[in-house]
Amino acid sequence: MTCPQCKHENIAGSLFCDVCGADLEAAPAGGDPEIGSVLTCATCGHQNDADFVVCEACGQPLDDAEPASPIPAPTPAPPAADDQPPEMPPRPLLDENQPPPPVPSSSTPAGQVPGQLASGPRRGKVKLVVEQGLVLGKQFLLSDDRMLVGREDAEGQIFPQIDLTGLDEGYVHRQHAELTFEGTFLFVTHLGGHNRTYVNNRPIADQLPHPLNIGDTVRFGKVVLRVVEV
Amino acid sequence: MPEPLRLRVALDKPSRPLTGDFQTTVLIEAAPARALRRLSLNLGILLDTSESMAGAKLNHACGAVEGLAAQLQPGDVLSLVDFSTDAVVRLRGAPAGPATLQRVSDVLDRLRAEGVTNLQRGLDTVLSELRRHATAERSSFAVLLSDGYPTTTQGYVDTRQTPYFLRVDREMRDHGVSLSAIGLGDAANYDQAFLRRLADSGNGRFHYCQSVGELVTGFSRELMHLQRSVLADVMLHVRGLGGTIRRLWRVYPDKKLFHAPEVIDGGFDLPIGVLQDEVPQAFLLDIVTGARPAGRARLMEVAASWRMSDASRVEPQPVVLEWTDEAPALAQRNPEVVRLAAECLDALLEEELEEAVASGSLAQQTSVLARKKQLTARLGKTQATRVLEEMEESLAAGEPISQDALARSSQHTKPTQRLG
Repeated sequence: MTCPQCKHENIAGSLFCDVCGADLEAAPAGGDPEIGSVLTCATCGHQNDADFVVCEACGQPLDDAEPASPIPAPTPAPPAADDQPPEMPPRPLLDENQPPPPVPSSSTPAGQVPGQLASGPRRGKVKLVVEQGLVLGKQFLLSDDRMLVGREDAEGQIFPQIDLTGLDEGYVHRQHAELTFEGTFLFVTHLGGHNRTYVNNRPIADQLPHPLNIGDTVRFGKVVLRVVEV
Repeated sequence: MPEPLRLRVALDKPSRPLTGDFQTTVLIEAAPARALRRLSLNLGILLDTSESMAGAKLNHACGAVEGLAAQLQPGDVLSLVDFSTDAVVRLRGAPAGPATLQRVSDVLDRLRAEGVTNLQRGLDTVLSELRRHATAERSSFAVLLSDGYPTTTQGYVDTRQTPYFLRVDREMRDHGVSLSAIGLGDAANYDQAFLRRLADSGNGRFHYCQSVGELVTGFSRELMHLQRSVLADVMLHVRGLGGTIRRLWRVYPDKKLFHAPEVIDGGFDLPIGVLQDEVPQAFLLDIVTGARPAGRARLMEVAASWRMSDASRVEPQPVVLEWTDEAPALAQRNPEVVRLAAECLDALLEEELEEAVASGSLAQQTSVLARKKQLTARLGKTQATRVLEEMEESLAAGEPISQDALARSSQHTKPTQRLG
């Protein structure tokens, strides 16, 4: 169930978009063409609301971003010409009567090495989306080689890149886990606190990097996040 | 004799497609029967007497506490704790009556405003005091009045809020003590989001009093609410869960987001505290189910229990979902549940707005505000929409949203209009 405003893939049956809160059941047909338009960030590819000044995923200015309609309208095919490359067929519009597509599977696809992301593990092209927690749909772009997951503690000078403060009332440790890109692999390492880190509902060992794939869920304290391609 | 507690369940969509994961929102409402016997109160007042309360604030607060003591009914007991750098018990479980009224007056006359706001000590003291006077016939409540940010004993603002929430939440779960909070003064001088979340953790209510004149009304309104308590230690029991829980909200009488509960053997218990006469509590549960062959299947069972000598349990009620690919069935919606889900989203956007204001980013504030205003207007909340328009005007003038406007917006967002 794709959100018409932010293009986030919501679980079928959702009444509102987990990310931007848009009403997923309101009919957008015949509306103002400006409503629902998005700005694609030139740096990370994230699609932002049209009125955003900076990218909500990576924080880069959106001055150079190209506005785009979230659901491209089909355009009439130009007359065939031998010297023109063939055009891609228009993207089919969603049929409301058809069952929605299933959510990504959490198992590793056949032929894929654990820890290796399906579309290439480029930093800035993978994000974590909160699926269970106090703020559903919040996203964290994985843009650094090494990222601490935890809660901010200004007095202790702990400022995690994946800051789960406010998403969980006390079950996430200040230094809970670490996410690392190593070559073409993404790993999560539990840093040893009492409240465990889980991958696909199974606790992982302390201080031992555990591979993560697209579609996997990872739980810190009581917050469940899914690894999603940007 | 009618059941003391009635349960009602409804689904946003009674049917789902055969394939793929699908989210269904379940409404669970627990409503006490009319004319149940009122429970006595075990009430603890926690009064902030830090330096910032000096003058009119403390005078009015004392007047409000005196007024509250005068409204107590036979069987009620009152404890009074004041806190600043330390916490002191001024009154220990005194029974309602003229003698207690005189003692309250004497105690309040001697209070002085000085020192820092050591809320942690204050909470520990009033909660343990309430535990001493708890009995099966009384429901326990703490009411906190504060005008400032909680501080450490050295006077630094205490930024670690989690321990406060956990303390209050644990007391509510283990000993059934609810906590309400009253914030006094300009919202810029205290953290209204903190006090509201503290009251949420304690299953209580938050009142915002901008001026000292509103204090008496705030206390009085809270007492009237508490005096309507009829069922204590109410617990919802969900069993045989046929899916994964994504989110759990209390949606009526006001909104509170819970952690998704830990499911053990396909079920969980949810303590909801005390129920007041004619005030149901309603919850929304987002459940994701997987593919199945066509047909109807049990999504879960809901039961409830409470503290009472007999008939203290509602029998489990099945909640059934249909798997189908019939378009007319899939198109069915329950407008009541859909509206309540929108109310929850409105509360979530309020929290996002608070975060945006805290971040200082005008772009972020503008973006969240636009979404919230759209939703608030669609819900038909005209007063709340007006507050949001004021915020828009501030942003258009290049000024950030004020804490006062934020507090008023929160006051409009938090409560939910009566169901049905």
